[in-house]
Amino acid sequence: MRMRRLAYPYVLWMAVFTVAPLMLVAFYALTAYDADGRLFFTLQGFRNVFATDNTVAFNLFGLADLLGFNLQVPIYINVLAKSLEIALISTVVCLLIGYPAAYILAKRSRARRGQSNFWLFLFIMPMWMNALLRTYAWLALLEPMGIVNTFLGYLGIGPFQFIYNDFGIGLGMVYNYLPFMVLPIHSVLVKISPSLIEAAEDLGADSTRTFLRVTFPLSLPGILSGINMVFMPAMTTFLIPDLLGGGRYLLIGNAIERQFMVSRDMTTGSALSILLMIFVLASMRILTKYEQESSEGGLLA
Amino acid sequence: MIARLGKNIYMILIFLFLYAPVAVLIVFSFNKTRSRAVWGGFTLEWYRKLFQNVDILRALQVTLIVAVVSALVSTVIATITCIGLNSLNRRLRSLIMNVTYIPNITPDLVTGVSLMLLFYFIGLKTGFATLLLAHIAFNIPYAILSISPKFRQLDRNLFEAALDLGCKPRQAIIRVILPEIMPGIVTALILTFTLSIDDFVISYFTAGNQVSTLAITIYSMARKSVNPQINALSTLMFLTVLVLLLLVNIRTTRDLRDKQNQGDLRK
Amino acid sequence: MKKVVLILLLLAVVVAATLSGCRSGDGKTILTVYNWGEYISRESDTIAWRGREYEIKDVIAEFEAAYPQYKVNYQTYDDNEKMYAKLDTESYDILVPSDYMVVRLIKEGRLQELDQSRLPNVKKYLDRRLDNLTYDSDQALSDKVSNYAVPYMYCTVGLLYNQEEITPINANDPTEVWDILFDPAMDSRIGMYSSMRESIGVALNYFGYSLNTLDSGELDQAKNLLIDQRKNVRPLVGIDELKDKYVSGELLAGVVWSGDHVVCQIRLEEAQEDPDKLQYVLPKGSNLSVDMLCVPQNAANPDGAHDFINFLYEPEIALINAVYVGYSTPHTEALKGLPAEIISNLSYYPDEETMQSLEIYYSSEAIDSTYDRIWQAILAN
Repeated sequence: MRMRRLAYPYVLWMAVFTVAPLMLVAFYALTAYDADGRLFFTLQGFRNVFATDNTVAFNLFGLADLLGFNLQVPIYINVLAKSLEIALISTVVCLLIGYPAAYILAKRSRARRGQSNFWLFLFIMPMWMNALLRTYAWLALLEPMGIVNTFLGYLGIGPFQFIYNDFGIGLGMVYNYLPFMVLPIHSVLVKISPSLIEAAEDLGADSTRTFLRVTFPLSLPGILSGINMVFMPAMTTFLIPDLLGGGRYLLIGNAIERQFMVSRDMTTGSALSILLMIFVLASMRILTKYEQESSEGGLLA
Repeated sequence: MIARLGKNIYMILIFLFLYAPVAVLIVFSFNKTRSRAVWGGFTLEWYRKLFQNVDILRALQVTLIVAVVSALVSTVIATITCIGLNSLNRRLRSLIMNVTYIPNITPDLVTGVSLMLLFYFIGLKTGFATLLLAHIAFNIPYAILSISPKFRQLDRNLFEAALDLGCKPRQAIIRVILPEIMPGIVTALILTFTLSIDDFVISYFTAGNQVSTLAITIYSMARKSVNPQINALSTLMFLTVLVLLLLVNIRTTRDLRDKQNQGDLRK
Repeated sequence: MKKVVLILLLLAVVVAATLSGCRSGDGKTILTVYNWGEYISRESDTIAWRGREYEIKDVIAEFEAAYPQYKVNYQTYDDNEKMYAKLDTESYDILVPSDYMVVRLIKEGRLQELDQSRLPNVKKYLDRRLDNLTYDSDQALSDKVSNYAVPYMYCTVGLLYNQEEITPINANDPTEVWDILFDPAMDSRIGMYSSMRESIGVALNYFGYSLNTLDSGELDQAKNLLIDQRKNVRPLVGIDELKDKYVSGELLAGVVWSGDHVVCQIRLEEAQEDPDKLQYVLPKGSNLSVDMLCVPQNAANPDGAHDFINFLYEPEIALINAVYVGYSTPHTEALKGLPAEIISNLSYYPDEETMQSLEIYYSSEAIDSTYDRIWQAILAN
């Protein structure tokens, strides 16, 4: 039928704006300009990423300090490891805080038969304020002479160093990405049929058992998509470490941003981007291996 | 009882966590001093200055234009594409859908960088045009993913029936299909508009130095001291959304109560 | 929710449409200025400084009023290297790079020679001592600098410390002066600049090495010192955001450009505190740096750029900027308007002898790439 023609313009668009850019990243990662401005093939970008002549001590989760070994790794491997460490911790914290919140919210919306998602609205509302600004407001709250420390000072406690360290960056990430964890879990939870839970209770399961055997397994798709939606931005952000890290943090996002915007080294920058992409895809692959075909659990489902 | 209290406390803590920075921003938009830690007295000065600040107003304008145009364009393209996709054979359709998924699983950073490289490669100077193109580009997949499920729910025979009854294909699309997929289109508009307003990373790489969105303006100020005028602007935007939400919420609640009352009467 | 967003969408259209009504500057030539952050007066205010009162104005607005044919597009950076990275893709009319970056840009053919006949104010008021500094190991190249660039402000790099908390440092031996930066007892109370040359430079100076060394042993020592500092002292790293933290007492000591020290003192005065709370020491062998106005080869509006440079050299404007920015002015007339304590302070306005004891950063391919590599390793820790 002639209708199918309507899809062709998009195919062209997709070729230009989805496929070509990614090919270009690969292309730039493998080429560089020589002194005369001619393009040539090179593996220098990847060599820079894995350069063994410029190494630092590897210390994932403080293991090196704990076990007392000294492993020298290429600097970018360390950067990737550090990013992974912070992203993983933030994702786990988001899940731990977010699941109960989603559960309570879901119970409330179900009690009101789905109408009045007022609490859910309240949950999304802050996202309408610019994320940068809200992150910046944490500075005002938590800096050594900020609002919280001043308040604690009146109580005779502190001051505490809340920001410019791992804790500050983690807090920024949890704060910014918590809704991405809560919303998909919530949208799965509200769809669980109450009769299933009633059935479980009729069959004699107590509420803990019902939760562990019925509710939790059914909410897994929401959890997985929540983890995806938190882990990916947490792994790649360069804003949060920029603002809350006191300028001392180079995570993979900052490293890539630096290569493009400061060092102007497109070859190394592209090589790093590819490395990051492979890394993120691989971790998501591991995660979603068990996930069934799911159209649910979307942000706005 | 105790469980319930626990739940309430938990939710209060979470909302405190979510709203603390928002409250700080709103309070400091009325603060006389520029400091972000000291209260220097109440003032509306920043609101007055905001409406004279050409840079911020221009950034707001760019942000809104890009958000509206990219939301509309990407939703229109997505709708047309979905109609077309629906009559493609299965293999081709799933191939296209798989490629459409790519931007969703690509980190924003890589998307931004790759689009920047694309514009650099084809020699397009970064500016308003590239910014808009980039926004449309990252919005289209989300629009398609919001609309295409509606086609899965659509009865294929509906369209055929319309044709049998003498509709031209165009009429059939407008009269029969569009109303059916309308909820998907609305979702697509909402989603793309929100994504575009919120975006920083992709804009940062594709906007160049002549145009600036609100997010970029804020980023360039954020490390030292954000101009309180920005706080004022965010407060205004936030309150607008809040008031709208409350109004709509009150109305739907009332509608629902009315309906319930009618139901009760009928009993 | 859906209705809300549809209403919002509509509202957005309305607001965007209203805003387009207030667009100004039609028919004017755009002048794109790319300058350091907080490096030109952008507000009208009265500044009290060492018992004197100065009326300052928004210099950009003054320029647009004096030259109504131009509309300024003003943008800022906080790092020479970040500014440099933008040059490939963007076009600017005015840049304000530091000396070594000017040399690099000249070498790469990115700057255009200035038409001195269009800069009468510069000819009249420029402190010629700055022209005679050695900006590169190659004297011929160093001499060329004045054809391409006009000094805007200059400063030295030294240690700022809070004398209420830290015992006064009466020395100019670099090891003694910088020692406090590497003292773990100062955990989280130290400020460092996020720029590459300043950070590595301080570490090199600490050991008494040249700021332009290529000796790998010396560089390694500097690198390890900075890496250890990041681990054990956890300094706060930034540029403009640090100034308020020295003023508030959050940071007790740090590396600063002399001009930032002046700014901090002015802010202390503003808060009715003793400006001398924050002291500044200039160690021997530290850096002298001159930020210069120049016009890129691909500038869209070189005429406007010349007018702009000349305007900045109007005595009244130069004084406003010198007061607002706090850095040392190369403008002989504006200098006379500054407080006497400032002009006589050798750390701000070094005499011949002090100038000789300082070192200017050089730029060469070897230096640029070696320092960048070290810097990456420091950042990645």
